[in-house]
Amino acid sequence: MKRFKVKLFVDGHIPFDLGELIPVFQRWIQRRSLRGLLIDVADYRHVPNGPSIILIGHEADYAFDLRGGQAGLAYTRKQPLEGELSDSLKTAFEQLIQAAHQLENEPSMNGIKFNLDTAEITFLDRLTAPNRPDVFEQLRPSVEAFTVGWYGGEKVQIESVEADPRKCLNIRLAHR
Amino acid sequence: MTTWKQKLEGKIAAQDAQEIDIFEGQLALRKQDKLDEKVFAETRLRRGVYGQRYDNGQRDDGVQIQKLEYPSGTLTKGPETLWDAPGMMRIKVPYGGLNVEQLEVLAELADEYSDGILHVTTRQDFQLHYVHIEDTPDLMRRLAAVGLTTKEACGNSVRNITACPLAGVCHDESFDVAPYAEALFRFLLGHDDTQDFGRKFKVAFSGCEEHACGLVKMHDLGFLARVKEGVRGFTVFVGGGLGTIPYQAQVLKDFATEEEILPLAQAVARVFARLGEKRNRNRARIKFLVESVGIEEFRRLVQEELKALPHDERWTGYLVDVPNFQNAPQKAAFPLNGKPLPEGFEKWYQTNVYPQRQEGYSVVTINLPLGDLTSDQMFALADIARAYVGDNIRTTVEQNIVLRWVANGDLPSVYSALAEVGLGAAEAGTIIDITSCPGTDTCKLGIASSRGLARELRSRLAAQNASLPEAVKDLHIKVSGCFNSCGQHHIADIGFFGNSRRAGNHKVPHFQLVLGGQWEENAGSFGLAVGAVPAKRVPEVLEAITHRYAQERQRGETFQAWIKRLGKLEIKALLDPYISVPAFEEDASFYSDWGDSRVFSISDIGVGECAGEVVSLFSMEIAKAESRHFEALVALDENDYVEADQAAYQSMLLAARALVRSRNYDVGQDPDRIVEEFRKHFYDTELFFDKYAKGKFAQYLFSRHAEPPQEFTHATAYRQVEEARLFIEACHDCESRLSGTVISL
Repeated sequence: MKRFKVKLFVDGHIPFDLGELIPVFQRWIQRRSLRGLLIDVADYRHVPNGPSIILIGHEADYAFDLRGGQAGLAYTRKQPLEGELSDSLKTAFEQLIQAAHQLENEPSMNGIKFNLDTAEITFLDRLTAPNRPDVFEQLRPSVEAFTVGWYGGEKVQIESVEADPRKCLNIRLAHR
Repeated sequence: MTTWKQKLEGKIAAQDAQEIDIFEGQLALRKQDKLDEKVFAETRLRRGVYGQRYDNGQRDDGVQIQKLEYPSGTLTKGPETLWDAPGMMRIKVPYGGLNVEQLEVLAELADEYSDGILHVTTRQDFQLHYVHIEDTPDLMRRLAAVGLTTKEACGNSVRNITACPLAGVCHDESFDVAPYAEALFRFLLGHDDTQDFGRKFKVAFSGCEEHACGLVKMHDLGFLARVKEGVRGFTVFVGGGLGTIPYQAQVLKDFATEEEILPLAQAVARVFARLGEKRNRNRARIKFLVESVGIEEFRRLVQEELKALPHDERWTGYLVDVPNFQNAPQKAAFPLNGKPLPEGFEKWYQTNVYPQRQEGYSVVTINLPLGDLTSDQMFALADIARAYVGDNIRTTVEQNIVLRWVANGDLPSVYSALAEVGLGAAEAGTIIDITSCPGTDTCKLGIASSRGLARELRSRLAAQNASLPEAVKDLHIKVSGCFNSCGQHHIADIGFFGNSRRAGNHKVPHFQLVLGGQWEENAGSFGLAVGAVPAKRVPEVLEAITHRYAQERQRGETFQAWIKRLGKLEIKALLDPYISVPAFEEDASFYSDWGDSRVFSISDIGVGECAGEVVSLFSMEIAKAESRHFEALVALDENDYVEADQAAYQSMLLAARALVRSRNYDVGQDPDRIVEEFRKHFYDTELFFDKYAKGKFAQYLFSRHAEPPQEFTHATAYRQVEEARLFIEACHDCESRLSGTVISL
């Protein structure tokens, strides 16, 4: 699975103007604050329910994502990772969490918090992971293996939340 | 594991599939450093695969120049263009015409290969950004499976053919030009006579003269529909173009019938290929050729070519399809029924709805901010189109999308559905609907942030909208990131193009103001640059100009006329208060561009791929031979001896053709003809002979052509592949000897 996205949701409202993300992401590029090659900042604030501001990377993008009407920080993996899918998810979430914590610590983000108990995984590959119930069931064991490690064996609800078969397979994790 | 190639087998036209396979082979060759980077660059450009800013491997991060170290190291996909660097993919949409299935596939591709955003360009194309080169063959396949192509979307080729988005439903048109735009697109795509240009070539169609729509007068080749004594035809224009200095097109032929336009276009292409400048890229557009020889001489040259053209059935073959060209509603018309209208509908109706010529129907414009929409919005748009209009969808050069044949009674529902997904913005075609090129967001040539400025102006104007005078609301603003005019600033009422000025030890982003362009009359005239202002002062300048226009305009006076009346001195006086730049310590915001917190710099400007080197026709042709030979090697590895033999033989034909075209440009594709011409021009003359092998390698081609093998084994296939290799090498050597240069691959 080469391309997939993981997303954490904002806890509460967005306490800053989206434009404030631009200098933050630019500074992360200057200081190479995240793993991997960081390239540029793309501004899509003008697009409703879009990716708003994206930190473009080679291995992955980070976006303050407003899609689905729910704001959050999304990590889109673009280059393949070694190992099993559960390992890839773990790596992706580790990098997402690092970015989320960094963002939370930025003064201009005015105390934003991310909910770590709910997350979303989107498989951006209609060839190997089309949005079908049988595909979801095939992937479920790998996702479960990831959640067991990630949430320390605690109960996690895993459900496919995108009904439109044209769209990408989208899985919601809810840690109880 | 299934691949997209396997999944789409049978769903892609055979020739398209083969061309994509060839490109994929060339990609593999380049990755192994077995294909020259310049040849590969032109190859990929002609498949719509563009570079983006920072693909030279460095970026000014506001503090220092940072090296971008990609895993592929120094491997390139073109001169100074690193392999792994994100690129752009341009998708052609002839005359802007789309169907529902295509919308859905475009949405899929944005999700899987890009950043989830689709961008409509100023030439009715789509662009996807941040695409990896290795994803491009599958992108092409998935597009081809729904009838879309990226072929010749970039490079020294015939670019997308544009046409009025109202073609077929317009009140003022002479007739629907879309079927003619479609026919010319199919005819010129990949045509032999369009492969040897020194620069790009842009074509447009317009149904009427007085409105903007087709903008034929600013195109390399333009067709303006007319009916003369009951006969359909076109006034044909040639030699227009924007770029750094705009040129108005001139009339090539006052009236060309529908039977004449395809051969005429072909003849123009041949003249351009033969006589157009190829060394000096800055003078290589056809407008310079027309200027240099004069329009009378250019007409004569075209006539001469017309007489020499071998007949082609396709010149008139398309006419049988014209009456059946798809332009009909999906639903029966019914009127608005007097029920309460949704909030915002009336304001939207005023600007976004155009009553069609056909009673009971309207065209709805979807006002896309900066030409962008998400994949989710695109899926929603597909649903709306499916429900209300079917495949009656077009993109526009104002970077919007229109739905045609909307029954008037459906307008409130369509509006509500669009608004629900953020596509219900009003003010389409007004001053708020600003056109912008990508600029420094992604373009290597961008100097200042055209999209950043456009975003800011749009936001401010939207906030002021209720108080804007009507005369101001009708103005067009267009922004380019540099002087190359991809944002079409020359034809705006108020245009801007990015540049830079020095202030102390710093560079400051500025925009040159271009006033008084004429959008109407098919881009009737061009604006004049009147002065540069700091980027951060442009909103104030815009307010000053529009405020004064609203106050001073005489009844019915256009902006263009007012600018003329105002005069240069007065305009300068109007701008003077805004041109100064405060010291960095006083206000550092002037030293950053809109939407970019970095200290402004021009160090990220790269070499544009529009201005790359011209690659010879032989190089482009022999690259195809190399790719086919590569496929032969792959087939041999996979023990597919039939395919290995076939591919090896075809690679020899392609290599022979590459040589033959220097002697017989019109040799065509027929193998018998190619071999005959090769024998005549290169074997019998002994031009192909080298000092040691003489004509030995030519015999490989002749033998295989005369006697295909009866059985296919590893031994026979291996021998064929090896002989093909030697033949191709001999073709390279022959070309080198004849041209007096050494070509390295």
